[in-house]
Amino acid sequence: MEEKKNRKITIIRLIKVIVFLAGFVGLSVIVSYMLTPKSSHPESGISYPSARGFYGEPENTIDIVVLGNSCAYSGFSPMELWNKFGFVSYVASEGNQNLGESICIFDEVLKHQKPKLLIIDVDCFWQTKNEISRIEYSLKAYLYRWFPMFKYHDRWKTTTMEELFADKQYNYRTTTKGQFLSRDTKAAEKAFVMEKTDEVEEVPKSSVVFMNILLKKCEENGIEVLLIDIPANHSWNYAKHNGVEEFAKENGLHFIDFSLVTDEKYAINWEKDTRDGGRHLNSYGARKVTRYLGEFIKENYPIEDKRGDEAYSQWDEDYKEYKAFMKKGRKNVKK
Amino acid sequence: MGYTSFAYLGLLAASFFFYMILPLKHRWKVLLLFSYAFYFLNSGKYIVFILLSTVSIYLTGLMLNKIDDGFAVAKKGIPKENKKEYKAVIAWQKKFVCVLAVLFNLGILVFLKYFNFLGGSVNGLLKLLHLSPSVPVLNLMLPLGISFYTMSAISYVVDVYRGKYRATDQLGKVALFLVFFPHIVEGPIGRFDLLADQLYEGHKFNYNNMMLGLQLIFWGLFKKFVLADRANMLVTTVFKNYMEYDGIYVVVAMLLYTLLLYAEFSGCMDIVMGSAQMFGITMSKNFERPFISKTVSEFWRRWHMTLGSWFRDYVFYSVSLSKTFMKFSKKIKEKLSPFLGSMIPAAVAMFAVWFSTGIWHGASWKYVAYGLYYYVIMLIGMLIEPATVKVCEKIHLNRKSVGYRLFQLVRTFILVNIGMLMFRADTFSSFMHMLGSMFTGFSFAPVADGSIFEIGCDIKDFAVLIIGALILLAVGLYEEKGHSVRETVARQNIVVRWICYYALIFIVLIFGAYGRGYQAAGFIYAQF
Repeated sequence: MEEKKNRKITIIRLIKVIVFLAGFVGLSVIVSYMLTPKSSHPESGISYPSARGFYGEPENTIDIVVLGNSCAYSGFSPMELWNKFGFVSYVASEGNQNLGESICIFDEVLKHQKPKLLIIDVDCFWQTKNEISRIEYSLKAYLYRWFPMFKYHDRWKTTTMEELFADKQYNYRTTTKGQFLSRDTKAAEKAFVMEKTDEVEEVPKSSVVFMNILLKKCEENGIEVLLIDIPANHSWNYAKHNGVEEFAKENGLHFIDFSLVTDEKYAINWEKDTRDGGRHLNSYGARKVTRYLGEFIKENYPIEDKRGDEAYSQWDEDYKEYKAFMKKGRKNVKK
Repeated sequence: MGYTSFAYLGLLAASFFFYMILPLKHRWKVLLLFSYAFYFLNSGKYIVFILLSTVSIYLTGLMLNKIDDGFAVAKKGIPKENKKEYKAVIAWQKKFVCVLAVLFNLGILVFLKYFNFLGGSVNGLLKLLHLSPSVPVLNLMLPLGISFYTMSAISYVVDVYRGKYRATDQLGKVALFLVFFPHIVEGPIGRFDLLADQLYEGHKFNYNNMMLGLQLIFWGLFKKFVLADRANMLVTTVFKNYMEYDGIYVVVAMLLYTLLLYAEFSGCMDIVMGSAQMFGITMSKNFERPFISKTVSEFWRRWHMTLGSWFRDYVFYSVSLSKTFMKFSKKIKEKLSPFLGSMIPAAVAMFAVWFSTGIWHGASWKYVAYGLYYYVIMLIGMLIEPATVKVCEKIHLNRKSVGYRLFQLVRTFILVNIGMLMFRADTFSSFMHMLGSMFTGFSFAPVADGSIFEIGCDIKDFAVLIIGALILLAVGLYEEKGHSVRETVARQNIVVRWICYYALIFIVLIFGAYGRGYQAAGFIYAQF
């Protein structure tokens, strides 16, 4: 009798817990919708609006997408790639982007675009200090995707009553195509030269797991993958290079390490091509990386040259802005 | 891995799951395993220090047991005239073993935490004497929670020495007592007799414990995310650039820091106690509404209570009840006056307590000054107490009236805030500068023209902080009357209950200052 009663209590409690959690999920979905920015313009409070400018491009017009952290949006130039090779690309990189975030934003891209090539700056394989925080931050990215309330909770300060239940209209377009344009020039203390070693710093386990998810997605969508490392003197070394090279070999991917490019035309000048003492490239360094990359893509991937195509005439207009910006020349900033 | 990280919550959930599925007698092993995993993930190779402390106090306990047992057997066969002598030998042996263990554990703490501070002070002194500095600066790291577990370790050894309880012969019990993962980072400082059995015996799954524990964890998250981390934005700006601010800016920064520290530390304790409660374990309270204290001594009985009681039991009593001191006190009573006879020994013992309290918080003279600040206030209070009573009687001032109590509350609040200012300021001289600068250029103009809302906290942040602080106050006053908010809510019907739970959760999730754009206030006591 007593046992039966206890079982009944347990079942009731279990039902209560399930209903409570279901209520929590339901409320979270509603609150998430209310707090998510309804526009992708920078003033809307959306996270990294520039990385989400692909929403503003006509559907299925982007052929190449670049993912990664700040090194990627500083060191790759879609406009340069357009002008020199006619390839249509977009940088969907975010500051400190981890692979969880890369997957989430790539899913956003795939809803709107059909890229043929995904370029990943491998610096994000080692994002954050240790394996636990890498897993934690990547899982957080998923949480933010399912419940944007966690990411945009602070918008209670700025949102309006009308905006709370309005429809989403993501159409912000930027002429930089996700690149962070910078003429700032701050020389590195010394040129970054990687000392060759046979040591191998394996790609962290968690990054391998998330990369496998990303690679599977690409395979399903017929997208090729290219790994690159854009030079940064604070986070890269030869052991990591060896680790990525092994990973690339195992997965049949190309890997370009720009820190090892020695051709004078493309090699980074650590006096002139960095905006903050070597941590990030400036737009002149990005130009070198992109030109090299363009040649490599031309030789290895079936990406079409869209120059002259009427549908892309706006890109010629956008390029004029980029050109005018680059023409102003380097701007030295204090050491 | 902070208490507010997903990693901690994951670890808590995993340990809870495994704890509940294993047979009762093996459940303590889950806690021990997860505690060491937590420690190792946070401290890596520094885990060796807590292992050393564990083994040292375990062996010391066994040795003390052995001496006691040997004495119990031997005293039957010893002639009456030799008993006293034998007892003295035994007492000396026990003292020697105990002191050795205390010195070993304290030595590790002093070396790792204070070597560079002491070395720097010696070097400074040598420099003053025009001698070249001779003590090297070492690159030392502090193992996680060393200031907390060392105190627990010492309390175990001293309690066994004093005969409060017998030492255990189970190494796992001692190990778990020291390393239990919810309390290892910021306490509360555990006592073996109150905690070890609870940790060691298996607890059955209890739905109410789980729910009440989770509620307490969310209450702690409310304090941490909504109040502490939000206040941190303005506090950091002002304290970091203290030369640029004066008047009301410094006053507001000081008040917000007091709120921050209380919300952060007591919030962390709520998370710790809530975590433990989920397993059916009750931990000692560390806070009891400190801001309704009428005196500074009362404040310290309500603030970081396990630290205060530790210093009372193992420093104050050790000094004031020592034979030397008892004799000294007796002499003063006979030769000078009974008042001084009780006053002077108390003052000396209190000095030891407050000097230790100060330096326990950090290896710098600023923290010594912090401890002595409270010492001086309490000493003055004790000295003028008889005169105050007389004056109040003469002017017919009722010391139990609401007005007088309010005066006491405000006075204590101001004194505590000044203490907090010293605690947070980078150095003693920056504290002095900030204290002085409060009175220079004080005006309400920064509030009127809105400039105070431009240094980290805007007007909406202030609204959240003020409402949050009022909620804390209301809950505090309700609990001071002997009620429990959690139990009161639990008595309501399901609709009201769930509204309360959802409200608390969504207030934390929406109004919490977390994520990009916010700099969380670190767990301040974790660095001690």
